[in-house]
Amino acid sequence: MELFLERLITGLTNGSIYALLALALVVVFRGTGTLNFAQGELALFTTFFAWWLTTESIPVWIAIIASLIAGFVLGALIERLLIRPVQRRNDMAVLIVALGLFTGLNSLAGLIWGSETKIMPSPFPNGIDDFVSVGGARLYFDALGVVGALVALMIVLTLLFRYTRVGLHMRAVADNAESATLAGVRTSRILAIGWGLSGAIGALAGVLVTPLSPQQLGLTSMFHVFIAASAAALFGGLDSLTGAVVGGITIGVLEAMLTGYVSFIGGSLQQTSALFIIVAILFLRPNGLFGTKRLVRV
Amino acid sequence: MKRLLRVAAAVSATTLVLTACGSNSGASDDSDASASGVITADDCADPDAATAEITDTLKVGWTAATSGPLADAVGNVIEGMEARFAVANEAGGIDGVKLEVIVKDDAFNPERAKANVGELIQKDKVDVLDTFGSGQVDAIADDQNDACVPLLFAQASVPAYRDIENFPWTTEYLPSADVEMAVVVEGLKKQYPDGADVALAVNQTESGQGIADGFKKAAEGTNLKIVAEEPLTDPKTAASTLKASGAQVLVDAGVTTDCLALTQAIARVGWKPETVIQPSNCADGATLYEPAGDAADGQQILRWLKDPANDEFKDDQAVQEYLEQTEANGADSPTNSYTVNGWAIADLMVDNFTRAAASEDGLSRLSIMEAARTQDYQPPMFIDGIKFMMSPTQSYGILAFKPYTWDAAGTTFTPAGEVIDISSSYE
Repeated sequence: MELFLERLITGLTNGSIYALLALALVVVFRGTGTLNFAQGELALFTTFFAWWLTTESIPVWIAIIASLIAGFVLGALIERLLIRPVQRRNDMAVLIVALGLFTGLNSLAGLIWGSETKIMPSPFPNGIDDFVSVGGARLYFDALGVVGALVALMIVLTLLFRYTRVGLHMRAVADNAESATLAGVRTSRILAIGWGLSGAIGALAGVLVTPLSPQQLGLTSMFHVFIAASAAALFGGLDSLTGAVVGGITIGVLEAMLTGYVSFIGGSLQQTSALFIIVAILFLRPNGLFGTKRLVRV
Repeated sequence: MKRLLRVAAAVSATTLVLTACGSNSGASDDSDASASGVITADDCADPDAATAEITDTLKVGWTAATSGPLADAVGNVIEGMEARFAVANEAGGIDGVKLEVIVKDDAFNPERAKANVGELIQKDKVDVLDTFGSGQVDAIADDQNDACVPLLFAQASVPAYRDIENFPWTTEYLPSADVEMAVVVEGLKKQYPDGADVALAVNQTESGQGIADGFKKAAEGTNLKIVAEEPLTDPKTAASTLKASGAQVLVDAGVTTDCLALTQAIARVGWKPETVIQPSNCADGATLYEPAGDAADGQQILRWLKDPANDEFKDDQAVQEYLEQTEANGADSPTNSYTVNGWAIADLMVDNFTRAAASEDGLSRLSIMEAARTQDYQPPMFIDGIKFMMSPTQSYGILAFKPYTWDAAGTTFTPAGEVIDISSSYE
């Protein structure tokens, strides 16, 4: 039972990490209708920025707030300077720009901060004795912190999209930008806010994730997280906050259980098998488990 | 193309080994006779080029990742090499021939490494090649063997390239997993004379599997029992499962990125095995042990290089000279283990080039390769008692290690015994 609980806690922790980044993907998609392939590397860049601030003797919480602001500004600038000029032409161009950003941001982080592994301090207590015991398994406070941040973020985003003018405008722009513009929505401003918001969420994910990551903070830290987060967002239908969270946790738990209990799958097929199950779900429900069915007027 | 290695007749080979083993430190035994006949240029694409005397400048061409996640490590290796070559050049080079390093970025992409090597051989006309990574060696070994351009001391440890007959122009620097694990098992047998249960955490790469296989092979017939084996894809999940085995010994059959991750993972599941063995590639205390705090205390590792940051070597003359020279020649991180490796590899090359130049044929690609195949040399930055040994019958290079344990309080490695030398098993 203890072993099962340990695997479950590992899965829930990893799943919460995936869900955090998946939320950033969903926010961009809901605001702009675009899947941001550079989301993971944007988070990586702002995390390196936060780490650098901590090396300058700035307290970790202030470094995190600074990285959230940097993430927002960077996201908005990317939309304004790189995405908007090409989006008018076609959506494929946006994907290509995002892929370019994926490699560009990674290289830039390596150029500025070097490629050696860094240790990002955790904002939560993360010593060996900082845990509560659950049926013999250890639930660490930093893992609880990630889960808490995920819940808080879910609440804030739900309130934003449901009860604020900005949230309403973001949904309107994602649904039909032209109609939204005709209705008086300042589309360009909303798009910039959407990308900025996702940049800030990604920054939050990065600074919370890397202290828990086996690889700590390095140039490849976010790669697997981004793949799993993308799968989680797709699982939920890309435009559902709840779906992203459920998808992230499902993938995290599946990975931990498959590795632990299905020995023939082992390590080499662990990630593939989790993604295989996601593909199977999407095959049965193309809009994901929580996605909005798109209606086309004919 | 079929490659032929004319290994000398049994009597000659035996003579070579005995001759080579005669030296202790300093330059390898430089008997001309010991090198000639070990290897031939007959099957080279251009035999004349392989035997042509090198004059003015000897070019060492690198294909390695100078961009991406490994850029710092590779950069330090090359800085260490350049610093050692600068010292050699200041001293007049190799009988007047200056040493030059040419570096091409492959971004750790084997396909780019292959293209780089084509360019280095055909356009830059390099005399010797070097690289960083097993995939890189896989990609370039056929081409450089066909062209008969020596690939010396590749930073890799792939068993296939220790095959002298099929890859006569290729040598590797990193220790063989089989050799390292044989030494680990020797140590464990002394530590647990009545036997022990062992858990293996295995990285799902060729390197990780090589270490695991090496351990299993060495443990055969002993009373060390492997009771659990888990992939390191997710160190936390692996730690939970291995903990349940109740093993006394945990062996990390991993790559560099696994060392800290596994340490933290076992600590977080509350497992403290009596003995944790880390692979020798996890040599950097500051980045791989210190961040784990007490969790890494007492972990064991085998080393072959002197650590310039360790108090154990603060009065060592070779280390003092190394620190002075690397600093004088612009190396950014002299105490980094990769920089020390780069310096030691360059030292091994200088030994080869010097012996090749002193041979009857003079300094040529062929004589350099012959010298590399009969090397018996202790670079000053190798721990005393550990040599790099090559012979026509074995190409393992490093056949001895010194055990260390990590002292978390002192944030340093402390010696845990004398040098364990198993070279007699490979003669």
